[in-house]
Order: sequence, then structure tokens, then C-alpha cells
Amino acid sequence: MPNDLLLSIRDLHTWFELRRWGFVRVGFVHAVDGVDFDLHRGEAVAIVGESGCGKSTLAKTILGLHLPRQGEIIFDGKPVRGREDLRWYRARVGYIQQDPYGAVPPFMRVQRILEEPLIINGIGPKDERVGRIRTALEDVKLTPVDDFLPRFPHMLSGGQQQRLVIARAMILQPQLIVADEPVSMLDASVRVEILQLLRGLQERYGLSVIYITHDLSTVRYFCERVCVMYGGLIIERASMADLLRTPRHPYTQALLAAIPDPDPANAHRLRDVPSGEPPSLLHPPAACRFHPRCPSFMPGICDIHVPKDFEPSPGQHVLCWLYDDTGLVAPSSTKRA
Amino acid sequence: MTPTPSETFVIENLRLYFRTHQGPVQAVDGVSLTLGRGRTIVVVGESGCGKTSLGRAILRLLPRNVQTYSGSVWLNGVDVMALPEEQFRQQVRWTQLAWVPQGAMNALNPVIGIGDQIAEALLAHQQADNPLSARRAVEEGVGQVGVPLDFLDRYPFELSGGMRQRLVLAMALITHPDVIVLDEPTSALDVLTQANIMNVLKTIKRSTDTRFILITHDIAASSELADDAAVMYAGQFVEVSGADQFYREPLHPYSQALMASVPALRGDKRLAAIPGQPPSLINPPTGCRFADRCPARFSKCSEEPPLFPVGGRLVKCWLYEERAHAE
Amino acid sequence: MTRTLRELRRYPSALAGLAIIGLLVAISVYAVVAIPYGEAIRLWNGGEGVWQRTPRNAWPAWLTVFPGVHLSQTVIVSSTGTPRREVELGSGVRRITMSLPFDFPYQSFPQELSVFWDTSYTDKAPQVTLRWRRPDGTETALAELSVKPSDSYRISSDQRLQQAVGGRPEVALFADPRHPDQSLRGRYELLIRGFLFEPASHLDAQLVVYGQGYGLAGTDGQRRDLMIALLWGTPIALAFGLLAAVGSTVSTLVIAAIGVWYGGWVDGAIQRITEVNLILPSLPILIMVSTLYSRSIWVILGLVIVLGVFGGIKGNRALFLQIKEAPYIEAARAYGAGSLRVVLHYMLPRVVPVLVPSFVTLIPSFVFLEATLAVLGLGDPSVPTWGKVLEDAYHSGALFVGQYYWVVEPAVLLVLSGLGFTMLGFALDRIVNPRLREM
Repeated sequence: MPNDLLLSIRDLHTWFELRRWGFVRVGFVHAVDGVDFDLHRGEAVAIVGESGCGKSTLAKTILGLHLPRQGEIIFDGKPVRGREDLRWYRARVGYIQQDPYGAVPPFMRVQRILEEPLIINGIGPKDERVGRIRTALEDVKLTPVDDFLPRFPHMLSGGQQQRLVIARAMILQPQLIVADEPVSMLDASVRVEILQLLRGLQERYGLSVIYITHDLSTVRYFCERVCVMYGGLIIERASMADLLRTPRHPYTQALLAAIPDPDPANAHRLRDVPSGEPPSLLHPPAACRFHPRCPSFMPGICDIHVPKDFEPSPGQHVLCWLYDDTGLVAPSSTKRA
Repeated sequence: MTPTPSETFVIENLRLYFRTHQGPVQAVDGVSLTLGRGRTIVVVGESGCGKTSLGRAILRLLPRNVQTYSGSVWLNGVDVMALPEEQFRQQVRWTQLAWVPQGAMNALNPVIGIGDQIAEALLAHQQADNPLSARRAVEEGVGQVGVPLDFLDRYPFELSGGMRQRLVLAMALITHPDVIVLDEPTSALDVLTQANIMNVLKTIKRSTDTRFILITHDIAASSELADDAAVMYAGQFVEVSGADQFYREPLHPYSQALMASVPALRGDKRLAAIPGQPPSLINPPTGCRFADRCPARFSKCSEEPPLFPVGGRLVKCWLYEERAHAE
Repeated sequence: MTRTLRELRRYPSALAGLAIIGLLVAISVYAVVAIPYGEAIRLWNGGEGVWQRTPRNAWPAWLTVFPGVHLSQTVIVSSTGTPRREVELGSGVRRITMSLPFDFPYQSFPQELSVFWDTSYTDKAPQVTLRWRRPDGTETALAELSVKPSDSYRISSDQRLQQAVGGRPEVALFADPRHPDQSLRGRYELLIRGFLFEPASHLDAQLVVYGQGYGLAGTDGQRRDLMIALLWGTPIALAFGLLAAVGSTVSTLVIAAIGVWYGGWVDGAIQRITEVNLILPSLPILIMVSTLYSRSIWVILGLVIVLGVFGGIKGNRALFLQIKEAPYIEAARAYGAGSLRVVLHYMLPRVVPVLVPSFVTLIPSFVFLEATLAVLGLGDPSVPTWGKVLEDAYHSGALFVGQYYWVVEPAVLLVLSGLGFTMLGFALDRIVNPRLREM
């Protein structure tokens, strides 16, 4: 449904230039190297990947903090072009960061921290701003509100700081929230609270959420759809249920196999995981980026031809020659997962 | 109390208090544990429970502002806490007791080659006679953790986080210590790298007698290595138990709450948060320290419970008083 | 901010530093109030006209508190308050007899003796004879001379008298015959007998017996009371140090912030300028400018700031670069903050507290710089500063002739101001810089 689509990203590339001695260009870091992505209103999608896969860069490009080299971002029907005045866009997208303490200016009080986005976007007069601040604090359950308004960030616990960050992201009444590892720096017992809070806010306000994490286990409690990112590309897209039941891409399978649950039997067996390192984004491997580590590597195919987007089952997309239906790969060597 | 099997590693009533302007921080408040040969115990806790201070206390890596440091640490029949500092440094630290600190990948000296750094541990403790034999020992140790030999001549900045963590582990293993304390060895690493390193640790566990004390906040990761588990809260152990029993059926209300707050990938688990915050280690509350967050709190909890022995486990909770007496 | 002040109380060095700074500020306030600026300049540059009646190179008078220290004080006797006799001799001629008595209770000799005349006439100047009467009754003839208006008779420099009494007059006229190295204490009299030749003319005299000691700080070679320079030097030193420190710190901050925020060629250009500036020798440039162009204290101040601005940029830039990557800056950009707002409201408040300690310790370095320039002879000659006093002392060879007070007084003040600010600055540094903090 076209008007249900909030965010649409096509062929997005974000590259960083690497220079030596200040002006000699040595190469590019291909942090985001061709991403297509759709987000519907009210939907929560997770982008999962390990460090260095480009997920944070993707998030920041969506937020307008990085300039894409190529590709389009269309938000609510309007194109988001990096060089123009993006204030209309920034007011509709909220950002939640990983480090709750670093995300807020330590020398500002809670009231001022929440007031800044309002002032910058010309929301006024003062009464209206104060009203919005109070509502935001109540939404994230930092109550009694008057207790928290005059505090500095260091007077709050980690969980409370993250709630403050969420309140700030909500204060402009956005349509989209981009949450980059919102709970990884919090204690285990606090993570649940924050995830439940985010879920509650999403349902209440019909927000769309892009949830970026390396921890697949938290995604279950939050998102309906998952995109797995590797080497600057989204290599698998599926619903959470499908991903857990039938992970298609060998990397996804490895990821799931590597994640432990608290199970005493873990101590008695070795995990079957691929060795090696995440790929360099400066000189990514040829064709399929996972091929140097892939247990199902097909020589002559995976290192020569860039994998296309295949849909082995409805709603599940994967960039892997194992699911080839174009006939490039001989049928006998195609494995069904 | 002298434990009879001298191969058992025993910590008795370890205390470490720091002096600060706001008062003494009771980081480690009477911790005891027993670790048999070849066993691994995981110490699980959240931030501010004192687990990193526990690691430091065991290794005697103390800052300037220590107010109280007491207890006994029995290793190979000797109370190493009672040894003078220089003797401890020469004979115990790193040769019998080694340590892999948090963020260890940043603990490598950036201006010295990897091979030389690891060899330094050997040479400093006179376990190698000359650089050549040291080098050979280093190569063997590095192979044990799965790092290719040609990395030995590189510098830390040339390697990834996972590689560096393996090398720091090699540094700790190179002197074949009896006990290795690992503080959050994998928290900064990716899932795949974490799994790889856990595989390395499991292999070493199987092939040597080394005892591991793994300190972490990641309960799921802790289950990868645990033979025994201890839960730390506000400077104290609130539960000590065999791994099988612990992960399947935690007894202490805090352990239960902790287990319930950890998301699981497989299965259908409902998550529950723990209300409130852990107490400050400065002037901790009298009585049970978990009482004001505990759903099962009752009147007796205003008195501090001892560690009750229950079915071969230890639980610091009044709820188990009767069960303990019945046994 | 209040937290910092509370923490400061824990450091005795900070309290001592604050006490010293408080003292200096109090002195400055007193100086400005008691001797207005215009008055101070007038006094300092007044020359002989202002300082005639003060001794030259006098030691601080209060040193007599110490045993064994004998300093004579200045005694001034005026003929207007003493008895005189006038006798008419006819045809408008009068014979006058004046006596200027005074008590001299000091053990040590006076430094100088002078008689200042106050007279008026049309053509014929009065003629006088001077005689000296000592406590033991002996009288000595001093001189015979005619008196001109605003004239003075310097007894001590009278060569003929020197030969007559066999020694320096200020010693010979006072010496105790029983203890020739001490003066005879008692009542002395200067007897003046003269003739006035016109009915309208008048004659008054003032005898000044210059002491060896004067005031709280002594006097310099131009008879100036050093207290003026010491007192007024304080606000000038503080103001110079403060203005220079503020000027250079603010400029450095702003330039570093601009460079870091805009990056690219702007940052590159600023870095190149900074690097050139690092090589520039600032003291020789200051010397050049003040020798060839102007020694005004404002020009020097401006130049010092300009030369100092680019010096601190590298450090500030490092701070800013760190802050720029902070997550909250990113977040601010994400909710639409513009560059100016980010720099002013998000970056500067983070940097300023860290800069305060270095700012405080910067102040005395500028104070010393001003003093250095003055000692090198490049200070503003009309303004009384500590450096100027040191320069005068140096040029007069004060240390060689034993006039230690002339050097010690400004030196002590300089050291004190340096000590006060650096103690405070170091304590602030320990508070602000968490790594230096004690547990």
C-alpha cells in the first residue's frame, strides 16, 4: 500500500574517504554499499549485525548525519536530500543512542536537555514547551516530574538516563524512531524495562522504529521484521518468526548458532562457528562478501558473481547463490535449507 | 581453617573496602569460594556489585585508597594473602594466579610487538632462560589460542579486537598458572568472535587443569564455561551453586529475577524487569541487601541472612532457612 | 560551579592562594581609592618639584624595629613657626635674625642637609649669614650668601664648608666628639642673620634634615616614595595579567572552535598559522616593537595577546576534537541544531571548566612578562609598575651599593603574585582534571 510506506531507501551507498597526508585519496570505506529498505507506518524493524558491518552508518545516514554517496531516501513521500535544509525531516525522526550518559550534555539539566530540540525547532511559547516536557517525562515514567527536572545527568542511573534520551527523542512527536543499540550499555535487569517502554510507546503513538543491535535475542521482544547486515549490505530480510525458524543465509545461521542461551549444557560442547574476521570495508571481498568464511562456499560462483536478491519463501529475502532460481547455479548444488 | 586437599583453591572471607570522600566503599564484603582442580566458576553480577573489585582483590592489584583488605586466599597449601608484596609478585602473581582484565584488548602496549610482549611475561618471571626459548614457548602458547604465527611480529593496532583478546589470553596462559581470573573477556566482542574465544577456552579447559574464575554480567555467555556459578550482589555472594542446578533452577530471588530478565533466543520466555536499583556500596543497608527490591520480602529480612547450605548449594536468603536446617 | 568552590576548601594551597590574591586585590583597591590614577602619575613623574623634601635612597623607616638598626628620620623646620627679630636700620634696610631649632634624637647621621629659601624682592636680594649651633654649645659658621627666589642652599654639597669642617658636613656637624661614629643627640639650631634691602621684601627659610629612613618602603634614587609604585603596581600588574589572560584565552578558544567545527581548509589554514606562530620568537618581537614603535602599555598588552593567541590553539583543538565526536553533539545535530548553536551551547560549556586552571596560571606569567619587559628597559616609562622599580634599581646598581630594599620589595610582590595564582591554579586543576584527583 503506497501511502502506508513511511520510509523508502533505494540503492543507498555511504562511503567514507580515506586520505593520507591530508589530501591524497587512498580509498573508500564502503560502510553502506547498496541497501534497499522499506518501512511501513507503525512497524518495528530490526537491523542486526556485528560491529563493522555498517549498521550504525546506515542509521546515521537515515538520520541525515552522513551524506550518502549514492541512492535515495524518501520519507513520507518527500525526498530527503542531504544538502538541503533538513529541519522538516529532523523534527519527524527521533534518535536514541547507545551510550546514555554520552548522549546528553553533562552540563545541562534535564529540563534544558529536553527543551533544546523544542527551542531549535521553534516550538513555543515557553508554556507549551514546558507542557511537552512534562508529558515526555511522564511517558517515559520519570516521575515525579518535578523531582527530575532540575537534575543533572550524572544524578541519574543508567536506566534513567536512557529514559531521558528516549524522552528527548519523543519530544518533537516524531513519526520514526531510530534506536542504535539502545540497551547494550545497560545492565541486564534494566534492559527489559527499556525494551518494554519502547514497545509501549511504539504501540501507543503508532511509531515506526528502526532498532539496530548486535544482540538478536532482544529483537524477539520488539520487532516484527529483521534485516541482517554484513559487510555493508543487507543479506537477509525476513519476519522474526521466519528468521528463527528457517534462517536462510549461512551467516544468519552462524549468528544464530553462536548466540548462547543460559543453558548449562553449553559448557560441554563446542559451537560450530566460522572462523575468520568480519570483512574489511575498505577492500571488501569480491562478489559475495561472506564467501571467505562461508561453510557453503561455491567456488567459481560466490567469488565471481555478486549474489542477487532471492525470495525462497514469501516475505523472506536473501542475498545468497544457494537460493538461486535464475539457473546460474546448477540445480544439484543448490541446497534447500 | 586449613583445607586438606592442597590442590583446592580457596578464598575465605575476602574483604576489600576503599576509602573515598563520601565514606568507605565496601566493594567486596566477605566473599568465600572453593575451586577444585580443573573447575571453572563464573561470578555473575550487574554493574556496581563489586565483581571487578573481587578480581582485583584476588590478584592483589590494589589502588592507593584501600581501607580494608583482609581474608585468606589458599593456593597450593599457602595463604598467599599473608605473603609480603615482593614475594607475591615474584612467586604468585602471573605464575600461579593470572588475570585477564576488562577491555584487555586495550591492555596491550601499543609500541611493542606482540611476540615480545608475551615473551616479557615469561622473562619477567624467570620461566625462560633466554629470548630464544621464550620465543618458542610463545609460539606454542599462541597456537593454543588459535592465532597464526606470523602475527607475532605485528603490533597491536594492526589486529582486530578478537585477535587481541586471544593474545591477551595467551599472555595469561603462558606461565601455566593454576588459576586464571577473567573479567568480562568477551563483552566488547562480536557474537561470532565471542563464540570462537569460548571455544578456545573450552579447549584449554579440557586439555589442562587450569582453574578459571570468569567474572561477567552476561548470564548467557557465562553458561558456556561454568562448572559452578556464584551470583554477586552489593559486594556479597548471594548464591553459589553447581552450574546444572543454577541455570535450571536458581534459588535466590535475585538470581531468579536476573534469569527472568535475560532475553532468550530460543523458546518462549516472558521477560520481567527488576524494580529499583542496587544499593550503593557506601553504607549498604543493614539486613538483606536485596530486601527492598525483593518480591518475597518478609519480616525476617531486616536481619542479614547467612549463606544457608541447601542441597549442596549455598543461598543467602531466609526463605531457605528451614530447608537448610532440615538437611 | 559551587561544587568546585566547595571542593577548593579541601586544599590548603588553594586557600593560601586565594588569601594572597585577596590581599593583592585589597591592595589594588586601596591604591586606586587612596591615590587616584592621575595623582599617581603626577607624583611618579613629578621630579624634583614633588620630591624635594624626601631623602634620596632612603631605607624603609620601620626597619628600626630591629635591634642594631639605626635610621635617622627627616626633620623639617620652618622659619614661619619660629621666633625672629627684625630691626629697622633705615632707608628700607632691615636686619633680621631667625633661629630654626630642632631636636635630633637619632644615633645615625642625616643623609643630607638643605635650606630652602622663600623670598621676594624687586632688585636687591637679601644677604644672609648662616651659623650652626650644636647641643654642646659649639657654633660653626656655615656660609654667607645672597638669596634668590626658590633657591636652596645645599649644606651637604658645600665644598668650601667640607674643607672647613674636615669632612662631610652632614656628619661633621652632627658628630659626637666622644663617639665620632654616632651623632650627638639633642637640640640643634640653625641661626640665620641677614639683611633685607627693600621694605617689601621678605625672607623665610626651611631647613630640611634628610633622614636615612623614610616611610614604609623607602625611596628611590629620584627621592620618590616607593610605596606609590608598589601600591599602584599591584592593580596594574593584576589588570595586565588578567586582561592578557582573558584576551588570549578567549581568542584561542574561539579560533580553535571555529577551526574544529568547520574543518577542511579553514582548520588547515589555522593550523598553518599556529605552526608559524610557534616558531616566532615573541620576546624579540616585543623588544623590537617597543624599541622602534611604541612603549605604551596598551600596545604591549595588545601585542602580547596577539602573539599568545595562537600558542594555545593546539591544546584547545585537541579538546574540541574530542568533544566534537561526543554522542550528544551528534544527537544535537540529529534534532536540528545549527553549527553556531552547537559550538556555543554544546562545545564551549564543556571546554571552559577545563580551561579555568590554565587560565588562572596564565595570569602570573603575563605579570612576569610585563616585569621582564620593564627590566629590559621597554616598559612604559610613565607608569609606576614593579618592573619599572626593578629597572631603576638595576640601572642604579642598587645591589652593588647595598640598597637591597629597592630590589627586594618589588621582587617579593612579584613572587607573591606568582605564588598566589599558581597555588590556586594547581588546586583548581586537581579538581577539574579528574585524573589528578585524590581519592
